[in-house]
Amino acid sequence: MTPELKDEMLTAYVLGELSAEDKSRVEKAMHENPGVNNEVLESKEFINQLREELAAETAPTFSNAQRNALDARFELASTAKGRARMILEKPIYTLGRGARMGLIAGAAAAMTIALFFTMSALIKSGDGVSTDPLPKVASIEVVRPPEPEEIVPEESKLPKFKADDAPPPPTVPVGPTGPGNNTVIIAPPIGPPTDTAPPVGEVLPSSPLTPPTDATAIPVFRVQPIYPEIARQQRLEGWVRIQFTINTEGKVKDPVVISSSNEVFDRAAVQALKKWKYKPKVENGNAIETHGVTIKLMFELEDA
Amino acid sequence: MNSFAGKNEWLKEVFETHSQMLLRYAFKLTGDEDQAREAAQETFLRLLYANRRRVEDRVKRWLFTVCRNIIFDKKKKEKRMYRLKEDEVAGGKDTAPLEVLEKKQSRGVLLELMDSLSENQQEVIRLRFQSDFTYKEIADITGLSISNVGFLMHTGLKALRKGFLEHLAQDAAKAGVQ
Repeated sequence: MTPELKDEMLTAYVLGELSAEDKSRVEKAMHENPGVNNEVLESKEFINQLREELAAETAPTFSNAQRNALDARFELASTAKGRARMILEKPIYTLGRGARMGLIAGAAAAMTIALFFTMSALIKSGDGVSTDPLPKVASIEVVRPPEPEEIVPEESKLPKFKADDAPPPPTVPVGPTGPGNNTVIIAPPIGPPTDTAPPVGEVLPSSPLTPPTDATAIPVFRVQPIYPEIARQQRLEGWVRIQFTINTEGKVKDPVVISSSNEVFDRAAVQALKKWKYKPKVENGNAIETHGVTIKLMFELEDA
Repeated sequence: MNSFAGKNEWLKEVFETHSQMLLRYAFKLTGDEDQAREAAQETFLRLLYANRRRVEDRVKRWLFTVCRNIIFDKKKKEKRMYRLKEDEVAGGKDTAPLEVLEKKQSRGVLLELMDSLSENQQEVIRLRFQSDFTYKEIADITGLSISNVGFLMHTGLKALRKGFLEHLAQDAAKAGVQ
């Protein structure tokens, strides 16, 4: 401990600023060393004299006008009307942290809303001049009722179809949701070819393949899936393979995605397929449900 | 709970208890009676808008802190203006009036010696002995650390005591000559 620090401790002792531990240390030193004791006593005496002189120091007082003005303000604080007026007059620096944060949050919200409307107006004014390429969802590849011999696991058939003149697998990355792109190879095209698909959301004209046989399921009305915005922005193409049932009314029932190139397309494909209408399968003159129908929907960008 | 309930009485009580002490502190910081009154008045007006529940248990410290901030903010602004004025006015004049000198002569020795201390030392000593604040409270008001307050207090008191002893010795020497 330096002598300076020791002096400082004595001053703190005289002013009652020491912790109990330090206080007992100083008192012990005072007891053991008369010099320390004298120093403390002299300090106390000197401080008392200083305190007296400082207490006697002259100071200004409030003028009557100022005192009255303050009294009037204090009175104002005690009435409801005055309180309301005070709140309105309240300077910004007197607001609490919560109120200030509230103001900031309010300003931020107002700015966000303003930006929203501005953007909305800009989008409206830009109608018809979009330079983005229009996304296109390709139509049906396959509509295939299940054949008993084809229900065997697809993996075991893969080598066989590879050997055949099968179409090449898609080049888009395969997503984690399905067993793989080998299902594309398995399915032989039975339905109308993609490039002759009729406009979306319309009743399809009679196909050369109609009237339906017991083994075919022909869509008579279909809706184009909405191209997922995120996929369009990333220039992502792909496909979704869905298995479903055609009920006796020709409606799509229980669609399940069995594989897809990327799960980003799954939802759009299923939602669109649910709106499709098929010609129900007829057996012995009666419409029956067709289970295990699979379809593959392609998602392609027009300029890709 | 309505924070305004009984606020009028409370404000008056706070004013009666602390206004004079606050005014003296403000006067020492500004060196000008009118500026001191203005700063103290502004402090009480701010108290009017303050949340009573938040400041009630430390109102004295709150008043001194706010008053100090008002004075120092104003000083910062005026500093630039003074510079401009000094540039505009050619030469200078002695602004110390005779009455100020007379006032000084009537002050005690220790108060005279106080003027030789640094502003920080004067402030912590006055806050302690005129307004009875602890080291911690002084640290809160001035923005200094507690150890810094302790150091300034000690060195200030030491300098005062030394000067006081020298003064006593001079007086004794004079008395011996006579």
